[in-house]
Amino acid sequence: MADDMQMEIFQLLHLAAPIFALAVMCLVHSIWCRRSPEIPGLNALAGSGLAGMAALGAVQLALLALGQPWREVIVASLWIDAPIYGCLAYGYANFVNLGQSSVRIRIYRELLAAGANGLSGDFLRGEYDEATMLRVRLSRLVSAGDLLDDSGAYKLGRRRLLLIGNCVFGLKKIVLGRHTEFSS
Amino acid sequence: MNVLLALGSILGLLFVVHLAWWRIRLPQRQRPALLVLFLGGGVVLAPVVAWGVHAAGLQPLSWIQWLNVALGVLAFTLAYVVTYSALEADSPTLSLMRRVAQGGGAGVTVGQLEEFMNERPFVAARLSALIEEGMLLERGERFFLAEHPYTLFRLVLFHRRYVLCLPEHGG
Repeated sequence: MADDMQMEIFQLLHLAAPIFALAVMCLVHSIWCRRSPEIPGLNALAGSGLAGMAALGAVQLALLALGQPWREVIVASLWIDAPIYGCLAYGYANFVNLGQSSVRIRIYRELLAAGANGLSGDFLRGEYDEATMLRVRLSRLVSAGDLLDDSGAYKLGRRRLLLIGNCVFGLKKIVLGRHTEFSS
Repeated sequence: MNVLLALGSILGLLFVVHLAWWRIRLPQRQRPALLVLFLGGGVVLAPVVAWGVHAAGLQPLSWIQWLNVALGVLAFTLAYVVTYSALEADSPTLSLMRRVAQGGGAGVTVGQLEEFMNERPFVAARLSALIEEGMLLERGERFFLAEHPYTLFRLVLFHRRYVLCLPEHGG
């Protein structure tokens, strides 16, 4: 009976671990953005994601201290808790990123502010033309170290976004059968 | 390990159904269809997988372990649905990164990047998508927000303004 109860406690802690880790990530990210808004968005997300990972590790240590065999802790943490936390953290990061770089959300915000008068197509196309998008993105990518401005020629800096891009475009090919929405 | 087995079976089956469905015919509203498929399908498949676990002579999952499986399906579904936004519509940032990578060691000039962006009318494509999704209305030469509230977009803006206290900028 005591063993059953102990087993249920272990299972409950494994269930709660990714949620607790996500809560730590959100909290750290919120504090980070409020205290140091100048930090590039991706760095703040990566740092808070690591804080969440540390919280996940702390729960696994607590499970070991409570007596769960280390083999069970390792299998559950590597194959279940960490992937679930990874998915939750990835979802949160994308949710935050939507507010920063999504064209759709920015158009929505402009129209919300415009109220009943709406906005003209010329205004929207002028405000969000491709040249403006390029300028803002280049500035953001250079300041985050993802691109290097080498006297007018842009070169790859950190490769993390390229890796994400290759994964996304590869998945697009598998699911939709095309590499880009603009391919004919 | 049984949790992993149940979670992997449910997600694997759902992903196969998703790929088959999408290759046969794309749903008109793809992200809501994905949510219904993965969350509804997960509920439908859970008893089937439970029966499979029993038939294989494995130890049945407890209610806490089933909650863990549900959390796993929910987490994967949310992660996949947000990724799917980048699948159905190209991300300008990721597209730029790939174009710069193609430039290799010599890099890419601003002129080349402008040409690349001009070949991809992101803004016009997004406006069309928003009209198709029913979020925007186009009357004459003007655009208006549709009547119904767009909860996700409101949440994103609320979180950005009041939780992160970030300025409204970007592009």
